[in-house]
Amino acid sequence: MAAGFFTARSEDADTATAIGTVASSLPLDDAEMVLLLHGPDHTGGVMEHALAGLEPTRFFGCSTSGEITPSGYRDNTLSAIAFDRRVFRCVARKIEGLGGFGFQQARELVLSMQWELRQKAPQSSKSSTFALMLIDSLSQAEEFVAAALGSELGTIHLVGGSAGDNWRLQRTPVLYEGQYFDDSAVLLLVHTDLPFRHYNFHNFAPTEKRGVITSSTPSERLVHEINGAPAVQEYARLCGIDPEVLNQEVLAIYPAIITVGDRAYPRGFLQILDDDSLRCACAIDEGVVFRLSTQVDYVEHMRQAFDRIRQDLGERLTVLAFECAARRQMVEQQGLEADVSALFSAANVWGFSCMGEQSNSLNMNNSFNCLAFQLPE
Amino acid sequence: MKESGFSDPEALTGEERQRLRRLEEEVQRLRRTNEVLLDRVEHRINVEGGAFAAFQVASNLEKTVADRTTELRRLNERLEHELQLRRSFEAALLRAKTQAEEATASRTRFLAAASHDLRQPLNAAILYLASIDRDGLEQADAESLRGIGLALENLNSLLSALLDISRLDSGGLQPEPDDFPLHTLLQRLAREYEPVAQVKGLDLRVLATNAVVHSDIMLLETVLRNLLSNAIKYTREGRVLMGVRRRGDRVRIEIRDTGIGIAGEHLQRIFDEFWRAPDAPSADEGSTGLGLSIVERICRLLGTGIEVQSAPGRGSAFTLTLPLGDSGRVAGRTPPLLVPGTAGFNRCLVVAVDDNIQVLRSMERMLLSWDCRVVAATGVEEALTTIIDRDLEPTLLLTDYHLAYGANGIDAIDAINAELATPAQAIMISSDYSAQLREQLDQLGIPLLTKPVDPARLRAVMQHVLGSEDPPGGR
Repeated sequence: MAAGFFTARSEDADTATAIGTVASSLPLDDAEMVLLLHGPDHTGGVMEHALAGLEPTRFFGCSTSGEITPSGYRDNTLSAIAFDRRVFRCVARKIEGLGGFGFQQARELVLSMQWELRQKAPQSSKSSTFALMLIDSLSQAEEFVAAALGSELGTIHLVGGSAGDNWRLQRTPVLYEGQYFDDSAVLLLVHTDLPFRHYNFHNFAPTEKRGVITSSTPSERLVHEINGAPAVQEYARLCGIDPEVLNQEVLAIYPAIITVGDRAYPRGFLQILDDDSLRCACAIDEGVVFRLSTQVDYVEHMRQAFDRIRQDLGERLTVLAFECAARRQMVEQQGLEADVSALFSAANVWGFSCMGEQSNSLNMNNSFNCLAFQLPE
Repeated sequence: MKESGFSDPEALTGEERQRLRRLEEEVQRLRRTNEVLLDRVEHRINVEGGAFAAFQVASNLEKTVADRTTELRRLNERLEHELQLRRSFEAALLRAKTQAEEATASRTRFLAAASHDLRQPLNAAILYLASIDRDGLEQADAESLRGIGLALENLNSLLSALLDISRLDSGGLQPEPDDFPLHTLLQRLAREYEPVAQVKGLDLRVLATNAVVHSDIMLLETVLRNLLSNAIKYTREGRVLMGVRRRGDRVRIEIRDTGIGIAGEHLQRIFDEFWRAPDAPSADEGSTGLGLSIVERICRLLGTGIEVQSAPGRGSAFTLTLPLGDSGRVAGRTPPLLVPGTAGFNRCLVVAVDDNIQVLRSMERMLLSWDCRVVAATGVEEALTTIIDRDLEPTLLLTDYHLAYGANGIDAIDAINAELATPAQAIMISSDYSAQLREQLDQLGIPLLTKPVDPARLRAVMQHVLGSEDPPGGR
């Protein structure tokens, strides 16, 4: 069997059964580490207990807002992605208390991880290494953590996603060495002998319609006012939608775009609050100017993205995907599931629907963030 | 006075009042938006520590990093390309160099072989020529013989010079610097060139010196020989002076003549191969045109400076600058004799005595080419001077039977052996075929070779004499 990944999944709602099924079908002895991605209902003591009997220090993962599998999008299932020890070496750290995480902590963390990785994989170099992050999305600390880690990692790509809980926005813990932690992140520094690349795609373009956030609570990513008017009403007006029908699913199709310099970043909205505020999925601030977005054909854009990946790495692929959960909502609203499943199946895509995607030093929204690996013959 | 617009809200219609309210709200919102934007522009909102600011900064950094990466990738590609060019360039150079080296080595081998093969018959010709009894010859024939002799001599010099040049060029000669006193070397050269100078009526003076230099004595001798012979060659009257001066930790050897001199425009070219000044003596007067090329190459090899000063019609001065040697290291040591090569007779020391200077020279060259060290003398006194002077222990004496001033070879052998701790082996050369001499030599155990000497035979006899303790006992 060619070296790369061992994968397994279970749609059994019973956590113990699901993890039992998955564990028995994976050659765990050959795994450097295992990523467990699962719906929020699997989170908790049952999982921890089941993992305790399986050498738990190899298990990392998080709760999601949906699993991405070669069979397409899934809800409340369990995916296990084991990294083959023949071609991977990894070191892991847990970052707790994300509010206090800054550049100094990032520096110490990254240096110690790099040192440890060199002990495990003396042949590793910056280009053979990537950083994989899973982070509690309710911490709302992704921007700081990504900026600090990204600047410290330099040319090592940081790829990650924010944990979810099927849009409940109640608890989005990460799994570290077989145990769950809130307000935390898992950082894995991984060396691989496989050729790989990091991509971040999105299909939104800015329009000429602009708005200004005139009142906000940045610490909670809350937008109270846009253009001096209540956020919900004004955003609906800008989009040309009746405020009464504006809900989270609709907002998924209408992310805002923030431009920094000549770069456009989609910024999504997670939630409509009773006071007509909008909760954003990323950092916002007063005085921030945004534009309304327009999107290009989703399936076509994804097809081009995968064409590009194949151009770079060939046909034998495994793709670890951290895709914005809002994109999945959009796919479902537009009834494009079959097209997307075909794409995921062809490229052997595993991952999850995130509440935010970390790409190097940036926290993104509404993007398809992924690491693609070229598998040996 | 009735005012226009909304100055009197009471006077407005309901529709107007509504419109007024909307506009006021709009103004309010715009004012609010404007304020927030102005604050933002003034960087008053959460610049420090704001999550959005972190995102903004990170984005700018990302862009910078991306731009740099692209820039670096381009630079890298260019460098890679240049490196590739350079590598292929280097490979081509290396190939060319190897080819050139191979060519040089093969040329050197060829020249060495050719000059060796050419020199054997040449030596034979010279020896045969010398053996011709000139007394009975017509004046014209004698002139022709003299001409042939000179031509052969020149050919011989040319061969030697060519071989030297090719050796120097191929790196086949490696200097072995040592400390030695100049005096002995200069005196020997003086003795050697004195007769030549005398023939031309020149005054050759070598000034005494106690300087010790650090150099390769063999190569230095070649340089001085070339310079001295040039000085004599290019001087019609007057004198040639060789002197030594110390300058700090350097020693300067100067060879000065009152010769034809070198025109300023030619000074740069005198070291070129085969270059001759327009007014220089031609090849048949003993110039190969290679002497100064050899000098220049050796000086480069030794790291020795060489300067030329000259005034046409008034003379030239060549100056060598050498490092001062350690006189302490020289005391009580005999300087080695100066013979190139390693094959043949294994640097065995041979004393050759012949009153015919031409025969002596060709004999000397032949012996040198067989890797002997040679003391060449025209008479027994000269031989003894050198032997005693340098405290030598020759292993072979090669002497003509008929020597100048009525002396004979047997007496010469006796006289020389009397000065040696261990008597040397001897070989007699003679054009005297008398049975009496043969018998006498048989008794003494000295082999006799008749003139003209066949080089192959001489070589065989030498090998025999030197190879065994027993004398060969005649033929």
